[in-house]
Amino acid sequence: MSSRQNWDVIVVGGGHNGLVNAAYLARAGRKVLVLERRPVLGGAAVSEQIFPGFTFSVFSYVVSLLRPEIIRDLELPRHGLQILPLESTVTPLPNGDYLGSWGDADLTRREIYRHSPSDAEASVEYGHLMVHMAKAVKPILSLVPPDPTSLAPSDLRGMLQLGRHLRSLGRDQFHALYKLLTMSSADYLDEWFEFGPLKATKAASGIIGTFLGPRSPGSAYVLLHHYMGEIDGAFRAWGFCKGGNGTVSAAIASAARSHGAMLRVEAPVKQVLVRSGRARGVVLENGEELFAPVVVSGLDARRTYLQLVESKELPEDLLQQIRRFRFRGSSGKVNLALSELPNFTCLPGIGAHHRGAISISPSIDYLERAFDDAKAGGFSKRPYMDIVFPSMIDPNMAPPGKHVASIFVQYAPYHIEGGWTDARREAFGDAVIETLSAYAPNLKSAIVGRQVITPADIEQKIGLTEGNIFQGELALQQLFFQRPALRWSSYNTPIRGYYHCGASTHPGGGVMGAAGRLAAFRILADSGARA
Amino acid sequence: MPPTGLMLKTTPFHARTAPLVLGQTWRRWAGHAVASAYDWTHEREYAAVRNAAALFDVSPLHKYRITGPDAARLLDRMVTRNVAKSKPGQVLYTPWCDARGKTIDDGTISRLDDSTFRLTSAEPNFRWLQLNAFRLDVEIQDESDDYGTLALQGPLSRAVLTAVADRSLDELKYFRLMDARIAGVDLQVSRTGYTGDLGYELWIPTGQALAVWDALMSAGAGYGITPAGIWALDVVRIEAGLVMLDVDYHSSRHAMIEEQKSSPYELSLDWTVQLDKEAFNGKRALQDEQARGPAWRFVGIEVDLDSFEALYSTAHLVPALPTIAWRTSVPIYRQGEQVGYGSSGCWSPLLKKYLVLAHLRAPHFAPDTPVEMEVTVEHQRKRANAWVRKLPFFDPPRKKAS
Amino acid sequence: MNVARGARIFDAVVIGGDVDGLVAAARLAGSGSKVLLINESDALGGAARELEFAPGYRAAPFAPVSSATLVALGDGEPLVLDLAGAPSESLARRSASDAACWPEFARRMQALAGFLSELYRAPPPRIDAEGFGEFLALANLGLKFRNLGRTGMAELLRTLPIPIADLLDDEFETPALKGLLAAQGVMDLAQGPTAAGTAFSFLHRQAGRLAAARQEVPARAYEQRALESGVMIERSRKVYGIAVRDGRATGVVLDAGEEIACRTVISSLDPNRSLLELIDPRHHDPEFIHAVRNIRYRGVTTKILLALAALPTTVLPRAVANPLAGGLVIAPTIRDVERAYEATKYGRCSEEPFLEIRFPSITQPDLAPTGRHVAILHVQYTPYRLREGAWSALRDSIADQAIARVDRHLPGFASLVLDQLVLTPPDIESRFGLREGAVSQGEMALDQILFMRPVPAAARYATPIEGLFLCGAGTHPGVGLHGISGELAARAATAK
Repeated sequence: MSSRQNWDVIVVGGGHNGLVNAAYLARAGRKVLVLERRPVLGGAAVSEQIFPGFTFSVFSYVVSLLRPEIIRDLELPRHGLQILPLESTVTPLPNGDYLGSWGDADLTRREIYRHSPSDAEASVEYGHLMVHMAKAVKPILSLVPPDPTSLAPSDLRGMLQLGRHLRSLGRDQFHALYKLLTMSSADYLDEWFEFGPLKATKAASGIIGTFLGPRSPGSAYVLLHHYMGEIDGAFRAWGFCKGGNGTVSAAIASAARSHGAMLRVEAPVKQVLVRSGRARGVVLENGEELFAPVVVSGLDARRTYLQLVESKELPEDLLQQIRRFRFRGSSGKVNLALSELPNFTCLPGIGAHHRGAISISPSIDYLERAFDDAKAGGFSKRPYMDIVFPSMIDPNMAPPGKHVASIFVQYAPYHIEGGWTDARREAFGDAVIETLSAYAPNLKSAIVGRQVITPADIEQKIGLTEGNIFQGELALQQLFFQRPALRWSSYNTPIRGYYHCGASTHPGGGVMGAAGRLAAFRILADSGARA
Repeated sequence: MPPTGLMLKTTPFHARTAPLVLGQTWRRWAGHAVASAYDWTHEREYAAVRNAAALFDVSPLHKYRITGPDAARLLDRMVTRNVAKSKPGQVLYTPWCDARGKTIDDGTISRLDDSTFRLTSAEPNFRWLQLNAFRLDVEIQDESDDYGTLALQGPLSRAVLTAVADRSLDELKYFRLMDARIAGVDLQVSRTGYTGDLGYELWIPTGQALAVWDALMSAGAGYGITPAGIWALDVVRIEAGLVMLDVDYHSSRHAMIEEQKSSPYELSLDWTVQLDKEAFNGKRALQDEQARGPAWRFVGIEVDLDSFEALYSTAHLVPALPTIAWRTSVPIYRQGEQVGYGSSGCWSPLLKKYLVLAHLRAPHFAPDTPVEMEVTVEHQRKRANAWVRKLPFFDPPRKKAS
Repeated sequence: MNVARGARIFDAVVIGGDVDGLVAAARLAGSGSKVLLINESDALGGAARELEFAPGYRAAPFAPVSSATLVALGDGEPLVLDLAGAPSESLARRSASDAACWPEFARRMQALAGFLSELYRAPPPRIDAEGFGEFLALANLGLKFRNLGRTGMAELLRTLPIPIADLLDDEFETPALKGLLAAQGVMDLAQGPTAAGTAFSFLHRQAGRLAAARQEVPARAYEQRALESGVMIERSRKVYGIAVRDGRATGVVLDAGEEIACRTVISSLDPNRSLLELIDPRHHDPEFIHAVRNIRYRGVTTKILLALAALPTTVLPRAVANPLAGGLVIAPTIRDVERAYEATKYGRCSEEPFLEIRFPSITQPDLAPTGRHVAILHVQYTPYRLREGAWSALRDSIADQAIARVDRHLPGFASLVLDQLVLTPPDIESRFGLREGAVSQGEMALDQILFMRPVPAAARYATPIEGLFLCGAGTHPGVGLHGISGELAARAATAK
């Protein structure tokens, strides 16, 4: 391809947000080029055959937050997206019992009732409140964050819109939302429930991807994520993507291509070309130069602002905010190829629980201790784990009769005492297997392949700074109009023509695609205004 | 191990009822499998309620035992009726509300003795009872699984019971309760039901449930005793004008928006709201509402069959009357403007009328107000004439007669 | 409970003679109401009152602190900081860049604390402001926010929710500095410095310090003012209940069964006591009760009052005029404070708590016999609810360890101790009537401030019970800002 060829838009990074962004822009008639460093598209949403015959969603492994409007707009089912139900969550307990949450409300109620009659009812009411809250948050997810410190008409309008929305919630719901934003998940759940493992299992969803413990204020907000899917009238909140999460990326990529976007892999971008405060294009690591009036970065905030462009192009207050933007990757992944399914002592044999998630979260204290290990600079000796067996739902993921297990593990801090080494990675993997074997004694003998991924590996392999899976912590001071930086939360940057569409921008990570979409709208609006 | 754990719950009478469900018309009620009808249709079961004796398995009702010195205080704080005034052996029907006077649920309270009560409810209420029990000296026990409940309803129900019980039921008045022994099983009989007819409910320890069923069935054979399912129950409760949670109203606990909530006044349950008693949940809001007058009323609607039939004959069809009650929302108009909605309706084989239970906005709820109800005839929306009627539609003297 | 015939009749009864109660009573009386104030103990002043803990030795362990000087004791030279932003030589000797940043940082924090002080002068804002007055208040607040300037606004938005640890890590490198300030962010809080909201807590404390510096009035002065306004004060009397009829407060019931009729009741006791213990719960909505029961108190502080033979001879830098006049802090690093906190999560006391020592007798010599001194030792974390063991068994060892630790930094300190009183959280609860030993009367966490304090349905001093109002630390603006809530509650009670 000629380096002289001109594009309307160059998207740096072929993660799902970059691809969504490219697809929307291409759909609007722009000539779009996506440049991906790796040989596969998808960023953290990739499927790879790590062991012969065993396919893994190597990094992100479930879908729930992918915005339904994106699925519709880009016609993703036509491009191969199929989401299969993830039925249940089962928490094995140290006493040999378990706590289950199933696809059916009556069944779940009965199961919780077994442990606490009061919690069985609280759980239903809690679910209702969460749906209310998700409903309250949903419009905010598709709102370009206004800058509350600005007096520009668009920002004032945005603030007014936000204010009106919050007022329209009514007092009770506003207060409930405020609590959710500010409380710790442990305190929040204490107000509802009494059964420890239930609290811990719910709290666990509040700490995923953050350097927070269940008792850390701010962790309650992420509890909501679990319910976001439900208000879209979806069949079920969480699901597997057929073929692994790479299929999500592949479907979006296919949609982008169908609208004429060009997607290049193994094309690492070295720098964004900036002249007189305007983006002109990019230069690849091999020196190739590509030109476009609009460059969009799907990379995280640190790479977008501190690596792709020179600091002199940016105001000091923005640079300072970006330097302070916190990543602190806290989770790792263990992918297992299995000759047989783990046989859980609490539910012997193969059963419905293998079609859902297994959560290792026996108590809040357990999670807190895991967090204490991380704060002290080590990985958790007894970590929180979320385990799924995608091959149970999608048999194509493993050879017949064989299985794959995807184990999300927390905490594995990026900043580990002495740094991550091969030995530490394997020790971390061993801790995971040891912990899990206590609940499923046949596990060790069933393992035919093991891949351990630390935050350092995530950073090194897919370029997520400090291995943070959300491209930056979802902490209160890093949300909405402060994501990634105050004044620069609406996808544009101080460099004209240079935009940001990664999960470092509002509304953040979790295979949502919202940032890519909103950034595309911003770009189209800006170019419309120019025309 | 999971299979048994994952199977839908059955009632204590399942071993007897299961072989009788000829049409396999099972349905779910509060996490239990129950019969919609035993026969392939419910006609005979309906007739038994109004003509002989029908036997309903209503075990999925939630049942709570409340004991202790503050038991009456707890209930009085929670429900709208005056529980302290009730006497042992008395049963009260009552709704209960949230702080804004919107209905959470409704059920019965049986006073078993001075300090022991049984509350029944459509939805689980253990947590709500606990929240209300703050600082009260009570014990709350969920005994939903400890008791099976049979409703024996119909003009001959007393005769059947008399034949099997160890004592006479003649003294048992409407909404009263007594101990009795049937087939060697100690149980309680209350003169209550959900049919608007003469009838009884039997509270039977789960382990001995089948013996009682057998005794009733065999003694009842001569009286035409007929196991009956939810389809029949639905028709008779509409005739009796009895409100049903999740069908005619939503619990304020689960409503998504204010408009989905109803106060007892809006459900026309004024008689259950005792504003003269001490503070109870929602009292202040209900006081205000009473002074203001409710914005909605729960009323009966009788569809004008001539008008209804005419809609069908215009389309060259015969009128399709709902023999199985519907439970959807149907717009009701007055002079072209929507004034409310029907929430359940059915053809009453006994009254030979098309009956609807409806919510109407003020001031359109006065009895005999002419209204129109939406009817879909051959894929087209039409309106049939109808009248507002006072509830209940059917109220036989035998219901309360001694 | 209904008030009997022949009962004494007042316009208003104020329950609790702390500063807020006194201010509220004085204001009501000033506007012509007949006011009775009931105080449970003999001494007025509530949590701020003095305690004679040894013959001739008095101390007010929870009185507001106005001193801006903090000294970090650790290995090497003590680090002296002036929260008002004076340059620090001892910091400069550690890190030139930190020393360069400090004055600006301190001023910025003061400015943000100043904004909080503005916020604290009025009832908490409401999302659903109704009427012109409230809208105006909201607009006024918006204006104050704007007045911070763009950088100030940005700073405020960023600072309020973040952990103090992050705030400090972003600015400084000196561990001693960060440990010292981190401890200020978690004072009396069952959270560690890595918890969100601790930067706010730091600012709140600054706001309290600024307020205390502005009006250093002893509790006695408030008492005097109340009496002058015509408030009748009855001491050593216990309130048994608040009479409610048809959702309206009608009076209070005192010890000896005395009933007093009144139309207005203002309580400065903690919200649980006022709302759930003094009132028959049947007058409340169960959801409201649930919300009140969920207020987190979680006292974590042990205060040790020490009678000293003399001030410790110190190794403090001479540059500080009176090095012992501020707070001496032993919290070497952020991590140390965080580790001290971690034990709390499991219901244990910190093995190495962080400590703060103050010598109030330096500025108030009358607290001790001539030549003698008083020290207040703040020990954190010591959670109110222990999972194992009893407080009675722990009390002495906590004190011994703390004193020994101070002694390591101020050699000879232990030998100066003539007498001591250890106030563990349960002791604080029983002595000062502070629930769970929490001086905050409701943890100052982000979800328990402003319109959430103490619970949304009672956040503007009025409660769901007509005629009953709350004030005190448990209400907005919270602990350490004496008198404001009393003033605002009285205003709410007289508004119509």
